[in-house]
Amino acid sequence: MTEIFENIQRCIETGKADASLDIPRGSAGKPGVAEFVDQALAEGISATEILQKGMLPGMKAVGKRFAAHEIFIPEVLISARAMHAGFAVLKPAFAQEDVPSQGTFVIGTVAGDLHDIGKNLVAIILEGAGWKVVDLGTDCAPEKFAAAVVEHPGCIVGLSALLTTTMINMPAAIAAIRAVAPSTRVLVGGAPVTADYAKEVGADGYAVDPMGALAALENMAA
Amino acid sequence: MHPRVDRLPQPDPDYRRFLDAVARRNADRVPLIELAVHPEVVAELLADDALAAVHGSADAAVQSVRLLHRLGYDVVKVSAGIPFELSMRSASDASALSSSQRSWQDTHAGCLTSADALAAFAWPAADDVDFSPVTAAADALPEGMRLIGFCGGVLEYATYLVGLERFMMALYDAPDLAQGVIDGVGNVLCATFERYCTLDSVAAIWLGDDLGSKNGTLISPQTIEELLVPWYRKFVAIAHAHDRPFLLHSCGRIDAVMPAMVDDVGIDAKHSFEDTITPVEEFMRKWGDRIAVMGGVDVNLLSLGEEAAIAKRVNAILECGAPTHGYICGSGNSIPNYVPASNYLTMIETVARFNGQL
Repeated sequence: MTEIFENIQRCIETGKADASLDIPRGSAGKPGVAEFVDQALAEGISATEILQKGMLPGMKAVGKRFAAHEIFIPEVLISARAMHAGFAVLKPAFAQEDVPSQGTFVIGTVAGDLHDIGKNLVAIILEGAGWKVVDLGTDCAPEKFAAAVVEHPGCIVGLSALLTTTMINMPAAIAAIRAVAPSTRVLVGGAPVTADYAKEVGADGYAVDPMGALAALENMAA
Repeated sequence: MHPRVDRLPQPDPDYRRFLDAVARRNADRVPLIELAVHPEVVAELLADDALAAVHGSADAAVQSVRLLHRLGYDVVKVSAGIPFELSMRSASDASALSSSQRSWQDTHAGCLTSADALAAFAWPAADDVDFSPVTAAADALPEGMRLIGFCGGVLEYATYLVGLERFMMALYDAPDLAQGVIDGVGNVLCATFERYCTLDSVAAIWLGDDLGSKNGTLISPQTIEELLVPWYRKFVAIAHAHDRPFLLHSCGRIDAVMPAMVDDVGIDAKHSFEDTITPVEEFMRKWGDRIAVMGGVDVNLLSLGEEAAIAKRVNAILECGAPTHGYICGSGNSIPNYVPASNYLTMIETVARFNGQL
């Protein structure tokens, strides 16, 4: 049983989503995440176990290697695609199981900010670590964050900004969130954001990269 | 003119001062450099112009020359218009000077998403590139001033044309498409740089290719060296064949490829620094004996800082950079419309004081 989890993990790390892909080079026709997940289900392994022992460790390894500058955005993206190929096969089984989640993380770029590469990478890594990610997209008004907090009680919120001129919209978003759910924890990040700025605006955490966001969330959830 | 601009020393531009600093020869003072000053900031400081010129227009280039001359610059960066059809998005702009929306490059959409699209794509010829801003700026140059001919980068244009995420995945899914787009862009940039170099008014060549994020390069150093460095070498060869220095602007943490940029590509100067990534003094200590260093006054500080804090920071950078003879002062990136004009002027005044002009 261990071998199939190792295969799923390896395929996620290398971006081998399914047999049709020739990634890594020369692997066309060989099974990828989709086929290994399908095989695991056929062997009677539960969706939860496949997720927790195969897919999540695979994506967590991707996050660690990204943080260590061993891999870069292209490699994270193809790994995310491989992970989603596995999710697609697991989806019918999920409907029949109560799959545990690490928690809900609501994320978006603040008002006026349309740059979402960093936000998307954070979402990929957190989803791959077992968090339910609610992606509000870009240019999110404070009210949009507030509505999401109401809709997802107990969630943690992530605010992202690329520019100094959009970063200064973070306090309004935090105020709107706390107005409807005062105990909501907020994580901030983005190019101009610093740990000092996070403290200044009353955020509960600051992350410099996706793995930093994961570590911060794990601390908050502990 | 803004009253504080009127109190600055009378300009005596000499582009050779800038070139001396790029060559790390002893210049008579620390020169100034700016990648861009937003037209709304230019309009505020010129004061006699009611409306800001359209970004990238010939009028904007002329106004930049007027302002930067008065502020004490020896050179002005100018961009020819490369007619790529780029997908843009816009959002409200909360900047103090803004009267409109802020435009953002759409990183999701692109027109070159298949081999067929690439094969059918009409790459701009050298004559298609709009040099009217360059010509207008050249005509407006006061004696002693010169232009720096700028082009956006190979990776930047490639990701705009394909879509950033799609381009990143094409490196694995469709490497021929990725290489084809890179080569197409590279050829257009070569032709544009060649054309810049035919102009006496252009003293240097400047490439802007953002290769890094806050934490590291966007794509692997190996991919940068295989895909982009060959084109950078060609650009440098063009510049050096025409006796022009080659300046590189690249945002983000690019430490991993700096040895290749210096040893292999042969850049003459590096621009773009953020205090949260690599404070410019740290970069000077590492590379200042090999290449010139441009800018480094953090845009976050210029945007939000008190004037006293800005003056203190600028002085600290100048104290570190001036003895190297290879430092040119300016913002870490550019002067967007969310930098208060007064803060920008504080940086200019501090440099003038350091140079003994005020």
